[in-house]
Amino acid sequence: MSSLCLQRLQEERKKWRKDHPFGFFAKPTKKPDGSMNLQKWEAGIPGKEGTIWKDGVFPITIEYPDDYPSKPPKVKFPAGFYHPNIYPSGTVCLSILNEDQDWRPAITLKQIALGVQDLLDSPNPNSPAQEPAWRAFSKNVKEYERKVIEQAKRYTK
Amino acid sequence: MLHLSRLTSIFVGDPAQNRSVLVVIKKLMSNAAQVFFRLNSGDGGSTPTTWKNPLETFVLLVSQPDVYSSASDDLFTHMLAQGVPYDDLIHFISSSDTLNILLLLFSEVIIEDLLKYQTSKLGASNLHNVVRETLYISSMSIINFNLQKLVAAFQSRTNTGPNVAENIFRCVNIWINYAIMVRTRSQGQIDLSETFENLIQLLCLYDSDQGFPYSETVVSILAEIFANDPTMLSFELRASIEEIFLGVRRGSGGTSGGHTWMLHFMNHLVVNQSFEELKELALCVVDFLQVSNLDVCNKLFTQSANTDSVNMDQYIKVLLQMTNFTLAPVLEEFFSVRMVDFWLDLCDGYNNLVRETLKPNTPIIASDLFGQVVQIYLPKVSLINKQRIIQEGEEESLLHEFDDFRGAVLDLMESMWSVLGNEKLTDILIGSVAQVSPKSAEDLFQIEAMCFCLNKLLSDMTLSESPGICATFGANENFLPNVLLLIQTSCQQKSPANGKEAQILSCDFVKTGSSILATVADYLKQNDKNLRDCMDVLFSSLETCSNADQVDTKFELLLTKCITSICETSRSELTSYLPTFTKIQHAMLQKSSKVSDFSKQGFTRCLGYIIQTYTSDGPESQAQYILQVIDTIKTEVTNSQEDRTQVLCLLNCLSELGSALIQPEEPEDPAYLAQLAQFQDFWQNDPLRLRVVILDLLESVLAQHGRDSEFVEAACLIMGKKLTLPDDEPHFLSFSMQELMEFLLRRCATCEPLTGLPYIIYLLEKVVNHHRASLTPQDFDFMLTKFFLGQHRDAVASDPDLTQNMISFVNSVMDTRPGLAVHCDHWATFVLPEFMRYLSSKERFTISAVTKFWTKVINNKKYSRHDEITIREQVLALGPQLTLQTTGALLSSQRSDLSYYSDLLRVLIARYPLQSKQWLSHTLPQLCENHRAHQLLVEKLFVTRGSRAAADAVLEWWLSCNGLPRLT
Repeated sequence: MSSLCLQRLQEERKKWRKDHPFGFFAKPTKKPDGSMNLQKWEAGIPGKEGTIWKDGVFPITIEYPDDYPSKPPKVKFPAGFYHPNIYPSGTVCLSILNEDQDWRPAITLKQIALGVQDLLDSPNPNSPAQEPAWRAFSKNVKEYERKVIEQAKRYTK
Repeated sequence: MLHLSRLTSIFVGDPAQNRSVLVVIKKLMSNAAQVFFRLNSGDGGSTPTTWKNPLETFVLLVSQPDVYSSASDDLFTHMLAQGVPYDDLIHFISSSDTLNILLLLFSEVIIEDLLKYQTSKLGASNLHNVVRETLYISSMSIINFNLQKLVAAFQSRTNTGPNVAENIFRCVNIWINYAIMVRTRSQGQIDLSETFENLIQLLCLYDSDQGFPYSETVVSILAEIFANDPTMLSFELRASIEEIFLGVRRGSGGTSGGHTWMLHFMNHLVVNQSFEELKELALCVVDFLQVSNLDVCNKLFTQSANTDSVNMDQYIKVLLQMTNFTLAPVLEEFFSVRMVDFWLDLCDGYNNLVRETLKPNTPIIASDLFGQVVQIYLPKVSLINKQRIIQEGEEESLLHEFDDFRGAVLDLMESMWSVLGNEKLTDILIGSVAQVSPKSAEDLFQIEAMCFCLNKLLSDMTLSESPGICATFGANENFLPNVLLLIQTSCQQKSPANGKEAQILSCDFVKTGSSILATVADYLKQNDKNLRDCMDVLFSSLETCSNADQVDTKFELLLTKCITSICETSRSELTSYLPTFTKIQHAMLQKSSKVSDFSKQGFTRCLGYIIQTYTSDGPESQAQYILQVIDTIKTEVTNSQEDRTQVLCLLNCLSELGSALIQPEEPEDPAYLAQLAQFQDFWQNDPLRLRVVILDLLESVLAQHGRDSEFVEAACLIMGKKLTLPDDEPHFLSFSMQELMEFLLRRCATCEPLTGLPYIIYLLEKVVNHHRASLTPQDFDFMLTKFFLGQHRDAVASDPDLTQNMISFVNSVMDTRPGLAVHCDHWATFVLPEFMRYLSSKERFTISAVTKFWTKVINNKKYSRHDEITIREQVLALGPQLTLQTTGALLSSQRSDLSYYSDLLRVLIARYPLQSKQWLSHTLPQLCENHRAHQLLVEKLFVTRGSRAAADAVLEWWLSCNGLPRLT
């Protein structure tokens, strides 16, 4: 890991601990020897109140590449997560996380977390990443909503 | 500047009367600032006029209005370059409060505009040099003189106008912001040490009459600095602040009286209930402490540091006292909240220290220190504090803040576990939970707080492999009853009649209680009585959740999750509960039951877990229980025919039962292994005709809901449950190939293709994969005909999703037994020509699937010799067309889809190098005239082997042929 990457991640950790949106959590994972792995974080994204996602806190992992912040981190939900813009592997398809699209080195962890929360209830039908949720979202909203609510219960707050 | 001086004279004459003039003065100051920036930007040599210090110009103009009001340009130019001695400057600001304020305002306006100007200009280094050499010196003189005047006024109890102090601090703030900015942009240093010294003096001013006139303001200034750039303060200044905040210096021995002020100030804020100001102080102090966290860590724990240990002890003692502030966290005090970060960093710092550098007694010091931290935070995270927030009627954000604080303390506990271990943390918490004899609400709050922390520690362990912890549980008999009491009490308290407070707290109690029970499930299974007690409490609690309101739904969800978790872990230990579970499940599935669908399904899964391990009495006894569940479902389906939601839920319950009956791992139980053949025979023959019952049930439901995709999905899930398992694994849903195909054909005939057909195709794919060895190409022809080329042909052709489903289905066969597809009749007449056409699709899913198909056609390790010969002939015949179609589609595709095609081209070239060169050379000129790009593409593709390199070559060609600029 470059010193720039390390310095920035330490800064992100400090900033997050001092100021993060309520209901979210994020922290670096531990390496097998017990030391902190700043390049891989575990986080929880609460569903927004007043939406079908409201009952859950959805776990994600955030992996920062060695050349972060030039390159964006990779954000993943558990494999098989039900959402039109989440790949079957769990990888999030979001423009601010795409190097060729809207990623900027100044984007913070807080912005990423809020961006992912926003994506949950505002899927982008033009950028499908998995077929089942995308199909249901486009063609059978009732089924889509039922499955989202059920999933939220599995990850209950 | 002349206008400015003229208006200043008018304003000074009668400030109250001429208040409106101040707006114009401010605007003129801002305009003057812009002129000053322009004159001093760039290299500084190109402008005819030199103007280094607008403040001095202002002083000169206002001091001698008669001289300059009608001055010539020459005289004015001379004046712009003229300086003002320090004494004159001080004389000027001492002469009038209004002039003093205006000069401070001018300094503030210039620097504020400079901060904005900085964001739009890059070449401003000359300007910063000028500011540092002139404006900074004048401004510091004015500011420091004013700050000292405030001190003197306080000491002599004379009055300073309130506006003066306000203006001074605004000016100080803006200069601090500027100093931070120039530091971060490597534009030299702005030393504000003297100002900070004066501020620190003001911070500590207090007496019983005047109170703390400047402390809050200075605290907020310092807080801003510590949050952004604490090293702006020199080491000496930081040391004196440390002494004020903590009364102890880490570096030198002894304590000082500075801390007395801090104690008085905190007392003043507490007495006056100035909780916001107290919070600001906490933020300031903890941010300050974190600057030296690493140093504290080294001095405390390592032998390398030369430290006065008595002094260090005193230092830590103060920090502990500060954390243990005797007010409610979040609501009244913020020290303990912010100190979590400090202790976490200190703990992480300790954990990361090289063991060889530690002092011999460090482990004792560390465990003693962090042990005290644990004891401080346990009451702090107690829900009794949340109760107070609710009682005070505070807004919801404070509740969130408190929850957030509890979460942060969990992280701290986790980190402290690395220091304290089970012996000094986990075991003590377990013992402490058990020791409480709950007599009052406070006792329950105490139990909850400890269980809350304990759950975090235990969830990181595998209890089945931690006999030590299990022994601790065993030795503390009251642990489990106390945890169960949390759940029982919250169920009694959650009624809406008890108010919002009771409902919120009950939810937290049941969450903590149910979470820790699920976490210790591996321990519970070791003791029959414990398991029984738990299940009894959980069931009786579940019974209380009969209202369809938000709280009961939440309770039910939490309890069901806990029951599911315990059942999954203790499936074989719970077999004696089978009759009870069956009875409860029967009651739950009734239409009249108020239990949510999620809980019905979850509970059916629990029952399934137990039935799965109930093998001791042979397959028939197990089957009888399964039959009972199916009968319940069947009866309820009959009773609820018009209730779509209930019927769908019942089908999902059946699916859950099927999932639960799958063996979680290879069976090891010798008694079961001895009976395995008997179970296999039993389920093959199915003497109770369960499969017939299930098929009839599904058919009757689907006769009514066959066009509803959710029912098709649920039915397909049930039918396909066994297909992922090995053939010899006994399971009640072992449908034969024929049963499955007949079921699929019936569904296909009645479904709504756009929404239902995908589920049918998924199941078909699983059937083909499972039974591939017994299938023939004719069977595959039959499937293509029936499912894709029959009644749904138009839908499949027109809907990109269905097209993709069909291609993926063929791909799955190409992955497992390609001969089935390659030798079927539709291969040459439908698959190859149609799939060739799909290469030009616009939908990414289709492109991805179809390029995968052609890749598998060209290169497939599963081909037999016979398959290989057939395919080679076909590819050679189709090669030119395939190349044209692929490159044509590639040229008009989106940039993000290029990689799909480049992978296909790469495989084609690798497999058919001689032919593909000709195909490409012949094809590319037909697409567009760009000989050079075509030639480059062919050359590059033939020398590259890697996917990335091929993708780059294709991208370059695509950019060039589409007239787009090349990559740099």
